[in-house]
Amino acid sequence: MIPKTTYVNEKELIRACQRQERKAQKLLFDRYSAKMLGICRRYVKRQEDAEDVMIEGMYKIMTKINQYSGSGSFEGWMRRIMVNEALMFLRKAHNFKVSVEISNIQIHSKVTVEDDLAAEDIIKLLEKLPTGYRTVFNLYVIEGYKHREIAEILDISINTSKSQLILAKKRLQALVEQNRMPGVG
Amino acid sequence: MKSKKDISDLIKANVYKLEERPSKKAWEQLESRLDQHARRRSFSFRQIISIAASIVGIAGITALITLSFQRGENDIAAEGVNAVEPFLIEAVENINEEEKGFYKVVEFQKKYQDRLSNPDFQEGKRKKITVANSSSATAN
Repeated sequence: MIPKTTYVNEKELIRACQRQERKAQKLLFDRYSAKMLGICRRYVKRQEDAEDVMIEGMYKIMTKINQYSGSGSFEGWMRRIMVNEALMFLRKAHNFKVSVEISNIQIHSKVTVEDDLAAEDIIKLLEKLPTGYRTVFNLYVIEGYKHREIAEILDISINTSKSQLILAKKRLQALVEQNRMPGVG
Repeated sequence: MKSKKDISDLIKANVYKLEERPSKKAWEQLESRLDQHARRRSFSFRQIISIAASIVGIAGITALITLSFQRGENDIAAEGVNAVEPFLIEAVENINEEEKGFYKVVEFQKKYQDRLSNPDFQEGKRKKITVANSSSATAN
């Protein structure tokens, strides 16, 4: 059978990838790799490491694509694999349990900003956060996990997760005020 | 227009912009890993086929051997104790000493075959080897 070079919709592309058609896999990579690398960059500090994590994640997506049920969002399924992959990478080098727990600290993380924030600014801000802060901030604020779920994923206590989030926000606020980022002031 | 915003909300609202084109070697690395995966898959498929073929082959040979043994036993059982005609050396005329020895060997073989098929062989049913006209044969 001759593989097709164009796919009318995402379902057709997924089916071709399930048949391990190389052209479909390349198309899937071209379509989503930039977005997936963006996710990895939020978690992993070094650009080269983030790319390695993205490649590993894409490999898992393409070899386990038969496990995608087809019911939910395909992009959401891929995002979860990428986040898991990034967390696996971080676990090798970082002990999430080694962190300071704080309690009853209220911070005011409101800053005067334009409604817009450039992608580079986001990366610059997140890069400056310690791994623990950055990971919890990503999981809670961007991915929408609950503290209970984060505690389970990272094998830490719920209080540690809450503390890390508060400290992350505090650090971000300080960074914004220090650096006077474009659009932020 | 500037307003007071939570830094988390601000990042969340703009995170969709985070897209970064991977390097060219990224696809090459991924493709080589996918090739390895495909090779492993096809290898394991070949392994499964060859293992299945070996099992079928061994089962076939075992079945053939068993069947042939069973058939042999049935044939011998069907022939019974008297299936092998007693060898009558006395019926052979003008036999010399050399030939007599040969016939004895043949008789022995037949006797042995008979015992294999029937352990309860009755000696009494066998005829005694007697060579007819042995004196005349020796004289000749």
